Amino acid sequence: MIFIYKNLGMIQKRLTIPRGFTIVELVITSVIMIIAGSAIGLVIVDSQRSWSLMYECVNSEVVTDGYVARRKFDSIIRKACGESIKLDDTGSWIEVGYYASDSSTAPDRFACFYEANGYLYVEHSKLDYKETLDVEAICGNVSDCKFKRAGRSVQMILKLDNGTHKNTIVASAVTHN
Amino acid sequence: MVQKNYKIRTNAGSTLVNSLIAVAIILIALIGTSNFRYYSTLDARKASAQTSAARIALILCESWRGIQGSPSYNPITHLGSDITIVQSEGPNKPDDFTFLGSYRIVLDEQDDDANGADYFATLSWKDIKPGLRALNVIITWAQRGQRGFENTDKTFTLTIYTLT
Repeated sequence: MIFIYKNLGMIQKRLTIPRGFTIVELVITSVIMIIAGSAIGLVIVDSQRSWSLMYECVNSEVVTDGYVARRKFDSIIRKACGESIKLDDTGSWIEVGYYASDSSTAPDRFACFYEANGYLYVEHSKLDYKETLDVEAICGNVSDCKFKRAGRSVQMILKLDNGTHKNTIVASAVTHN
Repeated sequence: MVQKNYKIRTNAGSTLVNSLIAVAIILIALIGTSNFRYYSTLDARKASAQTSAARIALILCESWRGIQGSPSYNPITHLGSDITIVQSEGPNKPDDFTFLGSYRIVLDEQDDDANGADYFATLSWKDIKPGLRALNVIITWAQRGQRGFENTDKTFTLTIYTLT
């Protein structure tokens, strides 16, 4: 009888115990979460900023433009004739005679690289008649472009600037013969 | 009565410990994600610096090769008007090569671009046989973009051959 009475008392006591969090628990948890959340938030914001900056540095226009310019310069100069190089005194343009195809036995095309209005252009023309065949804009965002020559090799120092990022491209190629 | 009491006990809410464990798991996941982004960013920066180093090595080698590897080649005279290049300390040349010079080269000043780094180059040459010369360029730089030769931790070497 006493046992049943004690059990009933215990059951009653348990039923009156409040379930869920107390206000103290909530306050402690909130403080911990605020401190941890702020710290992590700062790290995430900084990481996001760095990520965006680096993404721009790796994928911005000035980078892709640089790849295109270098590739184009390389492909034309490496099939050019070393004796046909004409370089401006200030290095602002360069003209080379190149072989238009594998069957060409002598240089039969001219290519002239120059910068104008923030673009790098290459102008192709026939060797004999100086007839312009094509003017190709290679890339934009050009702030400065200089060409140099050392014997049979030609160098291009291309500075790109889109207002946010700057990129300096150095390219060099030795002429075909 | 006893059965009812049992049901109430099994439906109890989560405890403070449960909540803290959940928060800890979420924080670990967030820190992991941040770390991933940090290292991917850092690696992209290192790759960009290495590409620049390779281009510098190529322009030095090929402009030198353009004049048949002449020992009188001076990259400061040739390129100094358009990029920052000055005489400086540099990495050691290969043992059996003849030293030409060591230079510090900067493509983009750090004030202008976060990618700006100092590149230190050593040029050397060796006659393989009469009429054939090997031109060697070793570039070293700090992958995290610090200034100064003492901070360099990465090297790129390029050797090309030319007829003299």
